[in-house]
Amino acid sequence: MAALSARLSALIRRERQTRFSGGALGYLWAYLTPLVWIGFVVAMFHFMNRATPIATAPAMFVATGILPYVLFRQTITGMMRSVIANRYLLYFQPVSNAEILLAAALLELLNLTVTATLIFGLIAVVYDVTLPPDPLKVILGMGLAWALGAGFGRFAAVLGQWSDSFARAVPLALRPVFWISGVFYTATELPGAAQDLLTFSPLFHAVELIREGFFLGYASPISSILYPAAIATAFYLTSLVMERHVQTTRSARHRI
Amino acid sequence: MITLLNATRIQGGTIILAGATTQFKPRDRVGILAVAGSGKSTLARLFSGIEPPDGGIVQRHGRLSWPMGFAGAFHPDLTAATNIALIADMIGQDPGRTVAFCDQFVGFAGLNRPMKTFSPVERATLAFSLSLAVPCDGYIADEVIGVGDAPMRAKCDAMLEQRLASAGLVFLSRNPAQIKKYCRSFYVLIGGRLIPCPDVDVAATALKLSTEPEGAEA
Repeated sequence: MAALSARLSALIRRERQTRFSGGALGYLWAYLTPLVWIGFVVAMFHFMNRATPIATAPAMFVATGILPYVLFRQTITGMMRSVIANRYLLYFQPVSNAEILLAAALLELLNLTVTATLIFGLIAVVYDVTLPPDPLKVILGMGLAWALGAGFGRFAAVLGQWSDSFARAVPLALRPVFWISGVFYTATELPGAAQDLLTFSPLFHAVELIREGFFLGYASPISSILYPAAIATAFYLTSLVMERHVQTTRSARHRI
Repeated sequence: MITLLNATRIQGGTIILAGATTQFKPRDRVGILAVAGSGKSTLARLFSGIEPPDGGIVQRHGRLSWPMGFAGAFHPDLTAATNIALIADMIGQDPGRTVAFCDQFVGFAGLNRPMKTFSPVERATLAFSLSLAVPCDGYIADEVIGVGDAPMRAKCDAMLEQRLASAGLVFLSRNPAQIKKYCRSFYVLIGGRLIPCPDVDVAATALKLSTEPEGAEA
């Protein structure tokens, strides 16, 4: 157990130090990216004269949607990249594919925890917004967004080892997730038919849970804990089966 | 050190190992003579536990090294010291002591500069020093069993000898002279068969005969 955590810690530190190496701003990018996203969507709200559906600062409303989305998205990208970039670390037994993937997912969780704390804190101070009445629910929602990213990310990373086309298709296939996960609207303002349809968007549940925890009195019809957890688990379990298949048939496209 | 039970390894339609059953005893120094392209590196990864066999069993006892001198995992943007410390952590070795060993062994100044500033020879020397820095029960060598100029090679030999006082060696090479120098037990790899030989000359002869065209006289 101690050996496993030492390996994971080394894998995380290595990934952390190499991720943005070479660039001038280095690791700042990890924190800048979501901040720029939030700025972009807030600006969009402003120019479209859109009022936030929940009475709070627009930046805070947008942050509750963007941060879980970024966590979900970056966990997937991080895992897909890591499993290929770090494949030579398999020479150092007992380092395994599973550990490389877990380390990548944990690093994203760590990063986004820092980013979310900074961004929520910054917005709360600047716009004088009260802190969430139910912080546990916020953490639960963020945790589910991460679990979805880690579950699907593992699935995508394993399949990406096998198929180049799949690896390239993932970002395209994920593009709609931004639009169907309530990043800039809430479930309560959707017409009935759209609400019924978007119930199937697992990340939407995580986003709405965060809002229920963040904004006093807000209750969403799309805030199941079980549904996104089940989807994340299903992808995770499928990835285990596929990983075994890729290993026994040696169908990974990158040789070591 | 390693026990093969009907171990089979097929790579891209080529049979590299066809149901081999044999035992490399602890502290033995095993030389495997094989021609280029016969799958030495694949076998080295199999013995190192980096990849499993396609059939049969490869039992590994104690800590076995990765193919000695492997340099593929050094990240160009990290310093040599950071690269080594991280790898040490991954394999459960003390990072400080491992870096100190490599620093002392390589003899050129400064492991605190990015890996990309290293010359190919420096890089190879560093990678080999890392293999020697880790105490193992068995060392796996794939063609590379020493690096650098003559004095450095002598240094590698001396350190390897010290390690082999309490460890075994599996050395895969196409060079009979090298195998003779480092090994005590001999095998030749022909057509996926791992054939034991009494000495390296027999192994070399067997290999020569197997690669000559049918009916040709020596």
